[in-house]
Amino acid sequence: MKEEESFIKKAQAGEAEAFGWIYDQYIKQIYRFVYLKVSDRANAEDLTQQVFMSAWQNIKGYKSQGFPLSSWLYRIANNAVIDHYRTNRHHVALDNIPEEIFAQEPDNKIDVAMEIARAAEMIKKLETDQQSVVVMKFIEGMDNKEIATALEKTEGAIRVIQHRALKKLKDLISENNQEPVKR
Amino acid sequence: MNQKEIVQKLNILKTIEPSEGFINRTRLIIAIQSKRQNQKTFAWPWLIFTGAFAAVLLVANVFLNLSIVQPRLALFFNQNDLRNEFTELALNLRLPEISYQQNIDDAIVLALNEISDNQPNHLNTSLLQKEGRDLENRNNNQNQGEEIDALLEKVIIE
Repeated sequence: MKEEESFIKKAQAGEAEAFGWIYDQYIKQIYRFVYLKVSDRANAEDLTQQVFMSAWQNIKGYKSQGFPLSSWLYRIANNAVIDHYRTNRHHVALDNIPEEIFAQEPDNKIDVAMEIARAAEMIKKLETDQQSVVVMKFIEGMDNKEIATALEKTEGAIRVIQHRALKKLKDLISENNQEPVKR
Repeated sequence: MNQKEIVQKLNILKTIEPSEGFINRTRLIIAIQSKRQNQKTFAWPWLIFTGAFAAVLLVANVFLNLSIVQPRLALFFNQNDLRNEFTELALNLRLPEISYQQNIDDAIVLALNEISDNQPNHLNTSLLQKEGRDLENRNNNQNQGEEIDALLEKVIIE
């Protein structure tokens, strides 16, 4: 956290290398967050790029609230996705998971791809706020306070969203167990 | 199915990552943008300084010019001079007008005299000649009339 703060201060002073460190720390999780919300690789790349460009342009105005910078980046990402859906109302189907999304080369590529497709499809069926909370909480491991800061909501509201999302996911998994996923 | 099992199923999504090409490309774009920003921030103070210097020069120039031009302007706006100039201008305008009126009066008097003068010995020679010709024609016409009457009588009687 202290290390991050020193890099933030350097980035605020205009050091591009310091921002590069921040970029390397968060690029993967921000991309994942955006990808799971837009379900499309090209859009996810565009939006992730926008998020970091915006972060670099506005980092001077960033004030630490005791959380990692990720909560601020997630807030920018969430707003970028909302803007994206406001201007592009169509949703791209998450039919094919590109091979390059895998972190490592799995032995059972097809099985893993199918599992990812199932999980991503389930996320896609959640409401926007539920998607954000599920990704931040269960995939990225953020605590409720940090999620609340990122989504500009109260902790109580996050708990309610989380509860409803889990209930819906449970139903979706039960449905999925009954019918195989189409590829 | 409990929360733990759901989270386990979702954990597979952690394998989703951007491509290396995209990561490097975006880093490069940010680096280029930061260079441009640095250039802009470097250029701005110079631009402001140059602008401010130019503005000071302009203001100084205006004050200098005003201090030189002001006495001349004061002369231009001297009230006595202006009044004299205006009076002279009015006089100059009236003189040609008076001479024009005078000429018209003379012409009218001359014309009236000529109209009222019915004596044959007036000064216009061309008019005298014309009058003489008219008299001759009138006499000739009278003679011709008499000749025509005589001829007609002759024709009718015979």
